[in-house]
Amino acid sequence: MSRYDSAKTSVDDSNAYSKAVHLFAMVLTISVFPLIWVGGLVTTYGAGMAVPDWPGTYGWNMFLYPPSTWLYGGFDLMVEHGHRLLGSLSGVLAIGLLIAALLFEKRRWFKWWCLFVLLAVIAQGVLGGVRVRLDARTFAMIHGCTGQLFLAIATATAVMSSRWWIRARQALENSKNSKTSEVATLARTPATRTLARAATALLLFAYCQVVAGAQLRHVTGGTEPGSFMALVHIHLTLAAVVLIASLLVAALVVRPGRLLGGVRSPGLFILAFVFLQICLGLATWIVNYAVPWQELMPELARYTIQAKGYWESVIVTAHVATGALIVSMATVLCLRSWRSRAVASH
Amino acid sequence: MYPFQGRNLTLAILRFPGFTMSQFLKRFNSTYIRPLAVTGLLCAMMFGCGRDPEFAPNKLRIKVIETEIGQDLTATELGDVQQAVEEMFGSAEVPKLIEGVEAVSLDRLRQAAGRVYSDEQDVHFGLYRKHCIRCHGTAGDGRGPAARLLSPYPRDFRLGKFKFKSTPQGSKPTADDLARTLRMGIPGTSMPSFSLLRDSEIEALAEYVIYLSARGETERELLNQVSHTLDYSRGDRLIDFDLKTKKPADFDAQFDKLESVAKSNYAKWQVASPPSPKLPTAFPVGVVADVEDSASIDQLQKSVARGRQLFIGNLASCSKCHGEDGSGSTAPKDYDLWTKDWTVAANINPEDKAAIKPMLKAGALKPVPMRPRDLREGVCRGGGSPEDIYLRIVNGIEGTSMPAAALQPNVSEGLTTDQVWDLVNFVLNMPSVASEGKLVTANAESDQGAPQ
Ligand code: HEC
Ligand code: HEC
Repeated sequence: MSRYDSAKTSVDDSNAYSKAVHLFAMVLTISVFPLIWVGGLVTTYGAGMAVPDWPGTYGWNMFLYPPSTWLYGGFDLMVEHGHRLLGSLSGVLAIGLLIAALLFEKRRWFKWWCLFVLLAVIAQGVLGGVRVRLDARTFAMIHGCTGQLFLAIATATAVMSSRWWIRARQALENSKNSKTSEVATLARTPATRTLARAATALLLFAYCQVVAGAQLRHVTGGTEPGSFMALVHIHLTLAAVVLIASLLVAALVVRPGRLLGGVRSPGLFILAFVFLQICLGLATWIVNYAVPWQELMPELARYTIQAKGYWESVIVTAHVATGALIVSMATVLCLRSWRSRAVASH
Repeated sequence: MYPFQGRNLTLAILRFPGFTMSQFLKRFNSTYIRPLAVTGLLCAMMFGCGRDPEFAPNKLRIKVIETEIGQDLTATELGDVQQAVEEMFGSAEVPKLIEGVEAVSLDRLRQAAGRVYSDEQDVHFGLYRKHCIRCHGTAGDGRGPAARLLSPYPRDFRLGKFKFKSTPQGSKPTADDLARTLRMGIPGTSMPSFSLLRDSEIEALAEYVIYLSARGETERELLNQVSHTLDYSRGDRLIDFDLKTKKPADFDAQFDKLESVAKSNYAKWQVASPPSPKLPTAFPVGVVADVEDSASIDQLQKSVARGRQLFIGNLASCSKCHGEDGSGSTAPKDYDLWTKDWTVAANINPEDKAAIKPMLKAGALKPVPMRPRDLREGVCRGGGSPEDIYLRIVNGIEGTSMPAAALQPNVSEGLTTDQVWDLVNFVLNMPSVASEGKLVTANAESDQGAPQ
């Protein structure tokens, strides 16, 4: 057994970087984002049951389903079938990732991780299938939540296969030898630990927020008005919590000389996305349920919601997608900050 | 290291995920994900797989009746009503239609009811669930998940009363009126415009509203029968489903009676469209700024001035509720019909918190006072055309305190139709909130955009 074999020594994998593995991980991550958009559109348009069967499409093998019917049939059918095709693309990429990992990856635990990634894609696809076969909204909701979780998993794969991750130790050594040896000590300071913890908290809160949002999106006639109201309040409270956490994180990452770098831009992106997300959230409420305070905003009293309108759907779906981006960025930040710490205190 | 000991919340939050990266990885590498999946599945089963529920009995109405008669309705009484209603109307999944009803067609009801899906030809089903249920609720009780957070509350169809229609108070809207409401939406409320749906879908939804409304009214009537006309303690029954096999002839006789109740509730919907209001000949109607030639502007402004006098005068006394400035701030506190139905009509004061509590428990939404429209916003919810506003003034707005104006010749002291058009002109040219106080009068020409 080599010293790469256990997770513990993962800090020492300075020559484990594989371009192929990282490339697959990156492309996979990038492919999941449009997948979440299209999946979001499926829910926004209520198109989840536009194809009654699974894994086939109207009796066809999914990949052979004639594009003429797919693209020029109904919009709902197009979105739902498109979502399935995109999903299988991610599946193919995950297979590619696993093969690349088996061929080129030196860290054994990472090979297992890539297998896990593949299993996660499959599980996600099966969940989608279950949602269709049982025609159950709860599974649609779970499928939505795990979809975002999968983006986080894919992001983690990309981060952990990156040159930054693998050479972190080397980078630290280098910086120790150079004039900026304070990096090493800095990485051990409580402030660094604070960042790592704040980033983890942010990730957890952001994900809880995604789950709360999914519950709101997937209401059925059986949801009590009281539960819905409670959910809205939870969603609002968590929004405030995420905002505070992202402000804190941003404040921590902008301080000069922090860590090994690589945390600054994700930290700032998160803050920007959170601001965007809050605006999108308000807009989402308005295009679904109208302006809550007409008395205060008489100019908006004229507004009539357009059900299934183009911009309305874009706004609502963008709210979902931005939530995914926040989770993804928080994953990057969280992993990188813990990695810096682990490397420094090793 | 306990999170909440003597620390503020932020610190606690920061400390909570205090495990290290390698622990994190290890956990994922182990079978961490499996229990997670199992938990997910269990949750799903607990939520009943997210299915939409069936029609629930009108619990609120039952509670009101029980309060009125001072005793609870028995399980037999409630069961008979539920069974009878289901026999005639079917379920949320599979609607039924009794024979001889012309107001709706079973095909359209089937397209609007049930689960949400679409087929390869892009025909959509389950329209009501897809588009309406989150506000109006499964049984059209106006108690969808979002209902509590909306103002005004979504309509409860079960009372069979609607605000915006071309027909007079007490009549149902025409099918076209409903379709129009669906297409236009109701501006300034959360009722969306469904103009992007196909005509066939709008028709199906409008008929489903009629169906839910007829169903709701029938249920109310049957509840009244079991609680007030029939005496179950002396052996009366609304209908006895055991007779169906034992004595089919008796059963049919009982059932026919119930069917005629349902039929008459459907029949109310067969209203003819009244002729659309005729514009006056003496002067134009519209927004002053939109008119080009100066002679018409002059006539229009004179009409607006007359309208203003009527608005604040005693004859029409619109300002009693809407205020002289149209803001609506002077209105006496009042509740709409859908609130009064379970409060004032049942001798309950909507402001008496203790008295309404059991009603809220039975599914009522917290009473919120109705507000007259702030006419300065320039938004009419029932449509902003002169004809729409004319209809609102002449017919009032059902379910609200907005009265139908008294008209000549029916009422000798009433308004003439030309006077109503004067009021319409005034409403259309009401100074906006933005240009507070600039009233349009015949001698305030300079305030208005002169013709280009
Ligand atoms: C986002 C919430 C929402 C949705 C979705 C919604 N409605 Fe409404 N609806 C309302 C509200 C709120 C009102 C009450 C407006 C008022 O009182 O002025 C209303 C009123 C109505 C009315 C009564 C109009 C009148 O003249 O009194 C009808 C009919 C109606 N809705 C039908 C539908 C149908 C059919 C659908 C689905 C295609 C639907 N609504 C979807 C919120 C909603
Ligand atoms: C008893 C109180 C009362 C009086 C008197 C009254 N209104 Fe109203 N009016 C209301 C209320 C309440 C509403 C809002 C109804 C609703 O909830 O949709 C309203 C709404 C309106 C609307 C808005 C219609 C729409 O489509 O949104 C107009 C226009 C209007 N009133 C004009 C008048 C005129 C003109 C008069 C005099 C002839 C008048 N009102 C008298 C209470 C009143």
